[in-house]
Amino acid sequence: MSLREVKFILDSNETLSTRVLVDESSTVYEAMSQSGLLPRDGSLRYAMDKDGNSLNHQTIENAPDTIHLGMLKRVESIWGETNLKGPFTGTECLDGTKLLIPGIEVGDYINVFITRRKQKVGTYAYRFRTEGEPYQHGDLVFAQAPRKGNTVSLFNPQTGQEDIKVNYQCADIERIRGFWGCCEIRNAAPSKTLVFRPDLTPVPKNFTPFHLQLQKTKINNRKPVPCKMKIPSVIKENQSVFKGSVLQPSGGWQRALIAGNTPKKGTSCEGVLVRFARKNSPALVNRPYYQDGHYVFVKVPESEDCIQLYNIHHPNSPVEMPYAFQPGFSIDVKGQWVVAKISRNASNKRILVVEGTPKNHHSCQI
Amino acid sequence: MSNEIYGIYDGNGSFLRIATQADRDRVSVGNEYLVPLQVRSGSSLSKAVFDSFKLTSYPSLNLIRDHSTKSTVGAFVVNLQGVVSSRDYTVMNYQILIDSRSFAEAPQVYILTPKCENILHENIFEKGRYNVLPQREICGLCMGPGFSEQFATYQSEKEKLGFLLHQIEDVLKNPNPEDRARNR
Repeated sequence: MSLREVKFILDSNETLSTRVLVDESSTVYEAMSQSGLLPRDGSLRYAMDKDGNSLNHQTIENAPDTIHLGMLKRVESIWGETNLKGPFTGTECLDGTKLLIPGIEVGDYINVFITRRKQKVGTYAYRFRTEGEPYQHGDLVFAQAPRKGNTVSLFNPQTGQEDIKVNYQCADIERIRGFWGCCEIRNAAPSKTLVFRPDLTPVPKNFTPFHLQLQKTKINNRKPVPCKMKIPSVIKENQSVFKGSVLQPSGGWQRALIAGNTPKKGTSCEGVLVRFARKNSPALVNRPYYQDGHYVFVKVPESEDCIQLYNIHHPNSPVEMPYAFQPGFSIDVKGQWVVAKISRNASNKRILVVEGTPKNHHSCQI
Repeated sequence: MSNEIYGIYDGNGSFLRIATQADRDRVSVGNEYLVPLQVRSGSSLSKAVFDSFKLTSYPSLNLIRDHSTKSTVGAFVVNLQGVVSSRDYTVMNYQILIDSRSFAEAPQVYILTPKCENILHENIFEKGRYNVLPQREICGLCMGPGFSEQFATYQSEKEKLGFLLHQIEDVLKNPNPEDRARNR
């Protein structure tokens, strides 16, 4: 048995840390348990790397030197506090976020996964269990009807990711594609099924299924808008992301990160404004004419395998490229804007390789 | 006592004047009474100490809003593991309610769940109604002999809360078959 010294830091109070010598072959969770680093009340606690990825089931041998203890970004242990409309019980996290959870009682202490569905009343979350099966027959979860196919992914407390694939069952799935609603877990051999419960979350009459929304956006595809690039005096090798500004459709210039080629002359050029500027982040612009090795800004889809890029020659039929994640990149970025490199796969077809987010990717640190 | 401010009051309880050192030294005269201006009451647990425990070892700690303010916690719940009874050491969860309205003294501890009918633990009393949660019947927990005295020896709230939670866990995990709390 060989031992390794690792440092555990408590995320909620980084002044609290400890170094322990642990067996390299044990998992991080076992090491936490044996070293008395789990909460004393039996609550859930995750070991994480610096990016917030779960390390609980990683062996100490493969774990980083410093392990953070806390909760995953979208996981909380909560008490059901107030009865709300329909099947929902409300609660408030320490940071003030209001959560709505279906199928639990006031006074229940449970672990929840926080979905991306946010409304004025709060953010929707659903319960998972840490002992035995994470989802049992009759449990209610809050999930989005698949935009394509008929499977959805539920949160897996062991891996810390949404990788439990379940079949989504609804009599008229085409009518509700993309709709967020309550679903019941049913144990149907050989796997579990998620049955949509319209009695708990009725589909509004004016709801437009995802594929119809997509057609609408395809027709109104964004046209290139004027941009100004700040071209550095020395351009780094393979640099394809530049600072600049973009003309907003409503008028006025906003600071932007522009991906693509530099203009042949001057600083003025055109690009597709893919994301508007936010309070603390610039607008994101992709210049047309995509080249291998260049970066583009794309939004990782929730369920599709391909990402659409603006096609300058045929604006109504976007360029579709499959995407993959760079090895070692395991942050959950579904539905988020990322930086992807245009590469070639084994069969020499173009593929987008997701490398990071505009906040952390090296190409954007300019 | 020497740091406290005293007043002189008449027999009807009306304030006459602030007591001087001379007033304090002499024996009370006539219809005048020497009384401290302020009497410190028992105070609740501070929110800062409560939060520090919630963020480290006891994430399930949750304050009861009706008994709490922005800076104090008058009652709270926590999930703790224990065993079924001295004859069955199967681990189970207990939901505990702690009355911390006067945290200087040893607080009363109650079991919210499981229900009284499903409890076999020898240190848990039969259900009753208590003013901390009058709308519900809950069971008191016998914290063992000497608990109050030991609690009083700790100076800081941090030490008191740590000792309290540890003691509850200890009682729940080590039932005393001699305890008459349940079998009176």
